[in-house]
Amino acid sequence: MLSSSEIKHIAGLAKLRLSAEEVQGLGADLSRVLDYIALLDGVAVDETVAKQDTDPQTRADVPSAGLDVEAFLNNAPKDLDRFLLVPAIK
Amino acid sequence: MKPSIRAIAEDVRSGTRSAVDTLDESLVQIERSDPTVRAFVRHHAPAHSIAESIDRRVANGEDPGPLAGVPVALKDNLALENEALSCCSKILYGYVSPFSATAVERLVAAGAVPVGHTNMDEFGMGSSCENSAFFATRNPWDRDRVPGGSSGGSAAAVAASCVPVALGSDTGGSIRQPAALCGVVGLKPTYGRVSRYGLVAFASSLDQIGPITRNVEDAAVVLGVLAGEDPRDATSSSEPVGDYLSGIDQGIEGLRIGVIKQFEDAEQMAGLAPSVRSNWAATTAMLTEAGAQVVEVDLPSVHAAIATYYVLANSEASANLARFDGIRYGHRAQTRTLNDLYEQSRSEGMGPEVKRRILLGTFALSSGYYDAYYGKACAVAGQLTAELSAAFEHCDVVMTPTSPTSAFRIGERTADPLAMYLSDVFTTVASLSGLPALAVPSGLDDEGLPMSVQVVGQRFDEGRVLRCGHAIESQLGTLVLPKISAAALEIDP
Repeated sequence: MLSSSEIKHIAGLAKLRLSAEEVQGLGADLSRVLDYIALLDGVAVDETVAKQDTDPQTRADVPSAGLDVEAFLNNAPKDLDRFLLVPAIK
Repeated sequence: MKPSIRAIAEDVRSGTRSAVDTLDESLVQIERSDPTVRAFVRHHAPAHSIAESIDRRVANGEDPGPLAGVPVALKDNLALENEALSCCSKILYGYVSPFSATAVERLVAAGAVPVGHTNMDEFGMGSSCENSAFFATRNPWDRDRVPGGSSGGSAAAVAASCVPVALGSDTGGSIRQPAALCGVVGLKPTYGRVSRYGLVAFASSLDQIGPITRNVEDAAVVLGVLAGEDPRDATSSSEPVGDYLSGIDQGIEGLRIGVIKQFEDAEQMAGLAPSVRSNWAATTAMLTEAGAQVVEVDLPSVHAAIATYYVLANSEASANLARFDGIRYGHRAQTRTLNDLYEQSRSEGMGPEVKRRILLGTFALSSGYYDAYYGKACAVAGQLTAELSAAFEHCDVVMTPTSPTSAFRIGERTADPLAMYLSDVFTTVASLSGLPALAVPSGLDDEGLPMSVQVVGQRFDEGRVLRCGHAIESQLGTLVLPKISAAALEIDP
């Protein structure tokens, strides 16, 4: 069972702010799922096998047009002169 | 609507019926059924002008392509240029996509007409379509039941005869399970077969786009359009694209069908609904009668598939969903500092299941736990893949039921996330190994709800998977889809 402080620590890493109710509810759910996942401990793995490589394809190194800046900024919550506006880093 | 995509496109290509009339028929059916089914979250205003341009091309003697005038629905995680895209999450409210997904571009280039985006579990996280920020979609066969998920809106749109094809995405079963619960066909192609450019990522080592259709032949036609290499997705494969229709009706004489020993044992079968169990036995018996050879294959690690899947998928999701931070698009909370903005925007914009999964993934990747969870899950996925490769030395395809139960009631599993995860018992195996898998209807249970079997093939062996699915469909027949009126859902067998 994960403690409240452990849940809050994980939430901080995930940049989520949880209410006290969520810490309790999601924490209980998470503990239950982790209990289930513990069955992985008992699975014997042959270390000589590896997941099949999917061999990603590389494309030719030729410059091509990317997304238009104006089109990108149309979705920005706040922008000024082609820059995104964000609050201060504190 | 004509019974096959080829027939619909042939009518439009020959000028027998206009693309506009074909679209109107689809829109009338949406208007009739969607107040109760609620498969769609958004309709596309440009659909009519696209249909008109197809008709103009036909009038000018041009061929608009193999999907000429075919209305298609898109899961709400597939980008269509200048249309909203939300993954049914509050955090993407207001987002308008500046580009189209490659899969969508290919459909449109082949003459298809996108009519709307369909409902889904938020970011693909769920097996019931109840985790949508909009509303729950209802199963056209019984409006008190779920359509499955996460591509539940796409499966319901096809089952409600709104469109002959809808695109879905499948990470652990999200095309196949809703197709099964809605009595339609769902194909998850081989990992790399279809470009994911423009698909909002959930778990990048597993995600794959595929069609949900009324029959197997239609799935083959659409796969032929979708498949192929794309320089914008480095994981898309240069493996040649086959002619998936060629030989699809050859039958299964001599085909070796593997059934998984561990799924056949009494305890495992006890987890299946009795009707699914007897349907599975009848289907394998029917295949033997049709000339196939059913052989038992051994997958000693298969019991760990769901646990492996939930560690890998959620670890990747916790990284992929880090981009939704309120900075560049979507919902932004009003805060005074940057860290508050990240935390508040994400907490307001994401639903409980998404938070649950991000927390699980973050935990599995965190210092001190990485090797025990993520590392171990990667190793078990490799082990499972090796076991499947060994199994394919004894068989040509592997078959299982698609879902352990038929459609369950709305709300029945929402309080128990683990019970919901266990819905994916049969589908996660093919996902973890990147194999193609097809869900094919296999009959109705005592309550008149669809059941389904799954055919899994070797990498890029979609042709054989579709041939096997076609044989099952030929033997059992396609299900007669429910007839739906605006006032109430009426099942009309």
